[in-house]
Amino acid sequence: MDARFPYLVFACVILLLTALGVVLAKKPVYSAVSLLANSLTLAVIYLMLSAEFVAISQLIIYSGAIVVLFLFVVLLLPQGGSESGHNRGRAVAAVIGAGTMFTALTYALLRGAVGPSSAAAPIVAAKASTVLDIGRSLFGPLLIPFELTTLPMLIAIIGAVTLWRRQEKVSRE
Amino acid sequence: MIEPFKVATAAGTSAETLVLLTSAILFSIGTLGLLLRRNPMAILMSVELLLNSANLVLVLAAHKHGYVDAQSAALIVLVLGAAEAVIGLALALALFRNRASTDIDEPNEVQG
Amino acid sequence: MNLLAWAFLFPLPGLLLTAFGRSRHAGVASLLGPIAIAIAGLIFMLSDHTPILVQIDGWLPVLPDSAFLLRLDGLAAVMLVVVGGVSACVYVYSLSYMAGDRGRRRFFCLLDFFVTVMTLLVLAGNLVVLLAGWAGVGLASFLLISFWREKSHTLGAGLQAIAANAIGDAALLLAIVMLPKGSSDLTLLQNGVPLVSGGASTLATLIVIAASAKSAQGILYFWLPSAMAGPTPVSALIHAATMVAAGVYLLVRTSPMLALAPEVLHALAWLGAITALLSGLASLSQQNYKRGLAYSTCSQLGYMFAAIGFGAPFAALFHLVTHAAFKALLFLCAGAVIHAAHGEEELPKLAGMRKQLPQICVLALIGSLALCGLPVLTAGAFSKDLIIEAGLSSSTLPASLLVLSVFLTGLYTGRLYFGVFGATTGDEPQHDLHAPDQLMVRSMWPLAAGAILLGWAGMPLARLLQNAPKDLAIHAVSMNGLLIGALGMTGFGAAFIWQRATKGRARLASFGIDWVPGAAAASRHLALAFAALHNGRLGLYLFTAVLGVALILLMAFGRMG
Repeated sequence: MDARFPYLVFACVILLLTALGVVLAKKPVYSAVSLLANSLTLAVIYLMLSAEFVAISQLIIYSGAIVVLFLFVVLLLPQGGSESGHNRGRAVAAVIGAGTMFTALTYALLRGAVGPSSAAAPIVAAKASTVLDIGRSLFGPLLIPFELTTLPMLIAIIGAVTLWRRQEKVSRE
Repeated sequence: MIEPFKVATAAGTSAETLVLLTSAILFSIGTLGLLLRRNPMAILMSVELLLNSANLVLVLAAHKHGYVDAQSAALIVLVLGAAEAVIGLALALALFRNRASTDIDEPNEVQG
Repeated sequence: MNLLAWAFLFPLPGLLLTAFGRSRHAGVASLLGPIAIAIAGLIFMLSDHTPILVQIDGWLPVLPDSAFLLRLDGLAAVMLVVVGGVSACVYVYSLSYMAGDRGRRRFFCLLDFFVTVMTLLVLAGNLVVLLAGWAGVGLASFLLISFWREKSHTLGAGLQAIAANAIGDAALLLAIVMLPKGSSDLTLLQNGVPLVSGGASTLATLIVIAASAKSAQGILYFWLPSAMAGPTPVSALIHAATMVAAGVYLLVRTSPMLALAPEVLHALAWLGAITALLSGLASLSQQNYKRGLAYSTCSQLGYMFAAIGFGAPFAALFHLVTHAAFKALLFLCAGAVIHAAHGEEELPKLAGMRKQLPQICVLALIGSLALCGLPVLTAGAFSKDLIIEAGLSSSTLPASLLVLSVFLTGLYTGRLYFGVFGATTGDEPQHDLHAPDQLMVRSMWPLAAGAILLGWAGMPLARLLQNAPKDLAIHAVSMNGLLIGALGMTGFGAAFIWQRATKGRARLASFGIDWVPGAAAASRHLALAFAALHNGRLGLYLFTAVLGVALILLMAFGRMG
């Protein structure tokens, strides 16, 4: 047993708690702060799984950009965009949906990941992957998917600008 | 350089199971938020949770099999998550401006 | 000679000139197209009748039979003459009929397109090329039926044609897919394709469905009466030379292959006979002049279908040729009458046209008599007699239905003729008539001549088609023929008495098996049921999406074990 196993357990618990914070917080500000903590914890777990570059990217993109963006938008909204009370039916439906999803995922894990089919898979000695390796794979076998990500990015940028400009036109009238 | 966490040893399978289970629970929590909340901001954050849980599995796979492409895939998911957040937030803002309301169930004029 | 197989391109110069020319008489240039097509057919008829083949390989590499194949043989030449001849008359007629219309240029361009795709269909050497023409004809008919966009109902009528055509296109497409590789060539179809057992009847059924959608047979009749919403020259073209002829042409082309499935042929005979009878009855209940004629077309096409069912494709083709002449004539007469009455189409309001339009009256009489089958003197008698005799010698029961419809034919033709050209009813408005000009009338005389003389074309026609049965005697006058003609004339006379007794208001109580509105209502209810799911509640959408993803996971991993 690796001596750092308890740390991993601890990080996972924090991760799930912050996730619950995101989902259950009454005010979006709290949700956003929880999301920030969540993504930081995730970066730690990535580090433990020897994925340094992904961890750094997670810090920069998620914690640095996306969550901050969320915070900005929340601050722009009246009353921080908090919603009026829950209704019971919705909560029941949400629990049913999430429960079904959890059951399905656990079933899939049992059948697919830790079942007999994965036992046969060769376990390669874990080795730390460097940025160089990731670069090679991104511009090698994954070149086309990688380049294709620019398309959603472009669409997102154009879409955001278009939506904003339409807003301005409406508000000017 | 951080010493790699040994999930590959016999005892390490428990670490692997732990991370997989965490990912499954994280995904379920994200689903819960998706269904429970009516505020588009909260829903977007829940979607980010879903993406995170998928990324966690990818990174674990990369670690377990020494397969770098999975890490690259995780990076691509990150980028897509950023794009999704941008367009989602723009939509949420548009919704607020047009209706002064934060309920995704309200705009239903185009129903059949 | 190879140039002749490209006849479908002949309307192109006219089309360009009409579309981009600056002439004050838009459409005159288009006239070149159909005339050239008819001449191409005639040249082939006068030559030594060796089929002309044009093959361009690798046209559509994705298909198993990828060649672009054109084929001009006797059958195609006959069709070329029919399409070209009737279209030429309709074109000349339209020059006058559409003179005042703002969309005249567009009208002639669409007519050119219609003739082009129909000619492509006729000249197709394999089923893929035929499908191109087939779909083009459907599209062109939609565009022309909905030509008067500002009128209500024209769009709906065009969409009905599209709907029926879609069924036919799908059936033909399935038939093409079903054919074994390398056998979509029409020559192979003509000699009978080697098929696995049971394949023949499925293939034949698909082809029959495709043809009945184009030719408005069986339950797919519904679009033809609605197609009357278009300008009358279009109706003439659709009913005589192009659209409905395409279905019969396909059946004649593939008749040797259909013969491999005798049970389908038998069903085809029944289909044709029942359609002939019922649409004859439906015609009697029509208040609208053009709709009455439309049901008459359904009925006559029923004869042609039945003829193919009897195993006499030559009779079907012969009736197609004669019918093209007299039905086009009748429609053009109807157009002249409606034009004169400023667009009035209701029968009682059109009465008493004999004094005002004497020339049209004579022309319509020729057309009506040909439709009823006045023996010896008119063309319709020859071809109809041939069909009924073929039927009496193969399957008696459908044939006797056809004999019954001969009387009905006389009755409905007479009702329409005497309703318009008979005595006045007294309540028609005293319209100052818009007399047809000479151009309009002159364009009808060639068709009238065809309606009288084409009956004698049977023998040369049979010689032209190598696969026409040799033993089928084409007698000018036979005992049966005279009897059938007499039956038709009795119906015509009965209609005269009926119209006189009812003072020009003869009409059967409304009749028709109208399944289309029911189907429309059913699909609407279905759509509304599904629309209830789309209630705009994002939460519900997400919930179902989540459940769906979970289900996919469970199924995917459940199968893995």
